[in-house]
Amino acid sequence: MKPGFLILMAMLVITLGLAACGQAMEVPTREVKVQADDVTLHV
Amino acid sequence: MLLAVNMDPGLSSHTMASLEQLAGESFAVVTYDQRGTSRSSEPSGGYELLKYVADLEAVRQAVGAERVHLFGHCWGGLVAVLNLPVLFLWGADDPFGLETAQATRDAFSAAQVEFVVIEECGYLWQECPDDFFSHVRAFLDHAPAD
Repeated sequence: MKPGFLILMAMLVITLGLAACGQAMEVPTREVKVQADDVTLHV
Repeated sequence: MLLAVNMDPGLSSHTMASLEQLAGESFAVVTYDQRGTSRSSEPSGGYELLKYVADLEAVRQAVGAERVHLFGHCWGGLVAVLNLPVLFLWGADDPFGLETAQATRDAFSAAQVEFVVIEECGYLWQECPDDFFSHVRAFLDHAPAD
């Protein structure tokens, strides 16, 4: 195989690995409305 | 749980987004848009400081936490000031100067104020070195809440 092809494959593997790692580390978030005395707060 | 109140009440809670890096499986970070700001509604009762404090309490109750850590930036610190203990972080390059920091620290009056000056750090904690988060994490570790 040509070196250029190997480099491309290596970059692809690293990119997919980083993307998967980023997804695994993602912290779940949620948004709610809270009714306070005279106002609705976005939390 | 860390409950964060942002600087300048006219700004949205997006300014606190990078605090999410403190969140984990057993530790939540909560931010909210203050009254009349961004996605929160316009209040019918005005903008007195004690109303902001009441809003903070309403959020605490709504998220179901008996005890929380409060993180206040500038104005947000004023809203949170009634709660102790306090970790007081001050950027050494803050344009208001150390004298202002010391006077503000003294306004907390009594007990349990941990005062730390962070080098290479100005008014915006978001631009401070990682040292900033080290102090926050250490404080959270020795003062556990829900």
